[in-house]
Amino acid sequence: MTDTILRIWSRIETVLIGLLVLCALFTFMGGAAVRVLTPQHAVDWADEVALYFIVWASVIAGSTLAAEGRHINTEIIVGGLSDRKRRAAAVFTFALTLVFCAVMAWLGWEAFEFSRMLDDRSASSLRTPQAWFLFLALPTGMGLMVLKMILLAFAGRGITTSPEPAETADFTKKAE
Amino acid sequence: MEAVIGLGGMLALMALGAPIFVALGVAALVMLAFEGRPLFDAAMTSVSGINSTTFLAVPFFVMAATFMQRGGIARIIIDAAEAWVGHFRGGLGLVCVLATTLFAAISGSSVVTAMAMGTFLIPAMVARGYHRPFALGTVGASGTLGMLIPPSLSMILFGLIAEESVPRLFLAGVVPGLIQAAILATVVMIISRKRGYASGERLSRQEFTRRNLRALPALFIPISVFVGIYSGITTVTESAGVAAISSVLIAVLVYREVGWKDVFSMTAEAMKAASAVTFIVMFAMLFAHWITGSGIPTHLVRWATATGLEPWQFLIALNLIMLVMGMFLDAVAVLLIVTPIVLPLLPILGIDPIHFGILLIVNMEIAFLTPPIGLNLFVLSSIARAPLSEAIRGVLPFVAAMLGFLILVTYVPEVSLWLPTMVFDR
Amino acid sequence: QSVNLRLSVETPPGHVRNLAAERWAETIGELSGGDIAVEIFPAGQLYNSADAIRALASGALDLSIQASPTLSRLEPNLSVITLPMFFGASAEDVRGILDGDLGDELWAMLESRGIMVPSGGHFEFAPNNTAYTVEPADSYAALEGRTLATPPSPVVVAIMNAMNINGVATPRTEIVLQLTQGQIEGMGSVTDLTISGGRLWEAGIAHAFNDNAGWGVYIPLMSARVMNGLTDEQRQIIDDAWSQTVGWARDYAAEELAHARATNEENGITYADPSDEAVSEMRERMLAVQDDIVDASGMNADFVARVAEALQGA
Ligand code: NA
Ligand code: NA
Repeated sequence: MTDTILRIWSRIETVLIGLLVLCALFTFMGGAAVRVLTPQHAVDWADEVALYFIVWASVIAGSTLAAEGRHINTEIIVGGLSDRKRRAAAVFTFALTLVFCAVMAWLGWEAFEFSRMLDDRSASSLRTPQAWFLFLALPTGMGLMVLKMILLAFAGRGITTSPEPAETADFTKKAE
Repeated sequence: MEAVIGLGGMLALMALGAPIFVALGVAALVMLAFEGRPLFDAAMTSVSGINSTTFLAVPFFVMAATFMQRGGIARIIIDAAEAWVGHFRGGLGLVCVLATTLFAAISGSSVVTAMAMGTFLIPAMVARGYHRPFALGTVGASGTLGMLIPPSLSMILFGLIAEESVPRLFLAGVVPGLIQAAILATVVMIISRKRGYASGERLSRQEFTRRNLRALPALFIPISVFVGIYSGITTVTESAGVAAISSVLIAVLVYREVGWKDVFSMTAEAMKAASAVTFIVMFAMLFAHWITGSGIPTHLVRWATATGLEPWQFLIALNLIMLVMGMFLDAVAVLLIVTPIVLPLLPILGIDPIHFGILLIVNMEIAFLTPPIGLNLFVLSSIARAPLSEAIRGVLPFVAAMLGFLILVTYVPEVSLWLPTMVFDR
Repeated sequence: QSVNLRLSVETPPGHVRNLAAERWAETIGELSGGDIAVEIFPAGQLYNSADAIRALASGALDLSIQASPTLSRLEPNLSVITLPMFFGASAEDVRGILDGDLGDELWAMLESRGIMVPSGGHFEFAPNNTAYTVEPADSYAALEGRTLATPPSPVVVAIMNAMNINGVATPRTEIVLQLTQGQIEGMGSVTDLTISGGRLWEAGIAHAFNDNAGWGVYIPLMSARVMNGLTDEQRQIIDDAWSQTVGWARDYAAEELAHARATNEENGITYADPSDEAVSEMRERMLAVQDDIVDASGMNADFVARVAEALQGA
């Protein structure tokens, strides 16, 4: 059950991430095309808007990375320990990550509210409110990661399972 | 004392196997809380750190690389390159250094270069029997050329802070960049010889022609990028977009190993590989923000600059400090801390600021490779899904060679200054 | 008890902004008898400009000195001195506005967002010139159709459009590359100091159309949250210290500006020196679009009107 939820959830996120990156690409290159072809209609916000898409895609990807065990860590030292100690370290770092992400989600929310109160805007002629377009990304991404980690805990999985060589081999294969 | 607690805490968490971004973030947050700073400001600092046009190019270049890899384009290009040098020992390793050197001439950053090239060069090398740590090391070390060979974002940043001419800095990077490429190629050849890495047979004339012809459409991608930049149509960042769009089109329309339905998932896959690094960057910057604000690195550099050393001794001391800072801090933070303090001293010591700029860049290159905090290591681990320890093991011989290169750049200013002097001051 | 304050600026040591910051910090140290220590973080080590402004408001940063165009992201009315009505204005005209009641009104707008301006106020860096170009251009007509990099500012972009110049808001880090590769043909709405500081003749800039088109100023800033945590005496010291610094900062900036043009000319940049008639003609033409610009950039029309009145009266 938990695994099914995780799988569907990751699928949705993957589509969303792909969509956000493609939007970034079209906005950015569209801005470039206008500048080259009809410079008198050039806009001063293409980079800015493309970046918002990328920032949102990045933070949402954080949660899928967690589900796929792809957040980078090092096991140089823990790898040499006994199974029991290694397990204890894994539980500790998982709990720490959960707490950290929850704290960041909270602080990110405070940052969002502060920026909204300050009404601080971007420097382009769009004058984009930074609270909604930029700062809201962090609590959203961290919040998603927290929810996902709770599900992962139910499924008995961590977020940094370092891959075995066999598993890495399919990286060289083509997409499914 | 605070520095010891912060650094020690970060290292302890890393040692326990915590995700790197968590180890950095927890250490920074705890220390900032200890200093009594409002913590939501830390959240703002970390988000705003990635809201920079520098980060726009990363996913686009990785997207291009992913389509080249999965769409078979990379294999076709590598087959063609091997037709030329495959019969040399370590031929593919040399192809790797050469291709990365060329790519460095269109990308401005170390991370982008390592990420884009690693996406297809590492699997290609592994498939031909090269050990993965060696493949990781080759790409990681060559990737740093992205910031030494122009264009270079770090040189632009140095130019803005030092009020030095960026074109001059760019030219100053060319000769050292080529020397570094030659040094890396030498290391690749030595290791390949020792390990007996495959040397393919010389191909029949027919096969040679077939491979090169097949690669012609694929060459459209690098060519479109080069022409875009150097004819003045696209900016360096936009060239990443050009690369992404042309790889998708060539992959789907010409070689047809992937279809339109794969575009979403492959784009997302590229973004995920980039995001594993973005998360670390966010909190590496926050960690650097805390350490800069503590004033400790500033005092360290000031202390070294105040001891009345001879110029050559001063350069040794400075290099050592930068190497240590580069182990723990984001390379840009090293630049921002060192440059303002050292600049006023340069005329007194008789050191040319352009020469100093290149010296600083080489230190930053090394910082990208040295554990525990080395962005290229994280990039390699993310795209190859390899344990970090493999990446660290792989870059070590290259880091040793880079240290020799650093000594050359430090004590032979002509290496950096010859070309810009010839062009601007003849 | 002693207080440690942090001051963050984006410019490197030696820049007029940093020199002013150093002097301010020293004076604070002297007046407080060492009770208040200010550490300066240059070159954006600690915060870039947008972050610094937020950090001042949140109380994470204590002091800073920011340029008016950057601050106008937070308080659009600070762009008032960049508007067409300031074309051809002198430093004295700018002081006439900012040192008086209208200036106080502007600073009060900042204070309502948690950022305070000490007594003594701003210092000018330089007037903006409409164009520095690779190819010759000695009239407004000659500039039409050129693609120029501009600082990110809705006001500047709007003015450029109205002049039929293709203004492309470009981050500073991209300008040299784009100049050398030909994506842009020059820079719009920047100052002599930007050109001399970046040695931009080496990137191809060879002509200056120095029409004195609007102003930018540097504004010393204090975090209201931090100041409220200090004693009255300490607050007074920080405030007094700036009053004792600002005169020097204004004189030094003026001197440096004179020097910048000489440096640029030594390095082969040709100045167009457009006539006063040409500039006032353009000012009249631009005034026709000023209301639209004010509206689009979120400024207060009433405040702008009162500044216009005061400027005409001067
Ligand atoms: Na480069
Ligand atoms: Na490092």
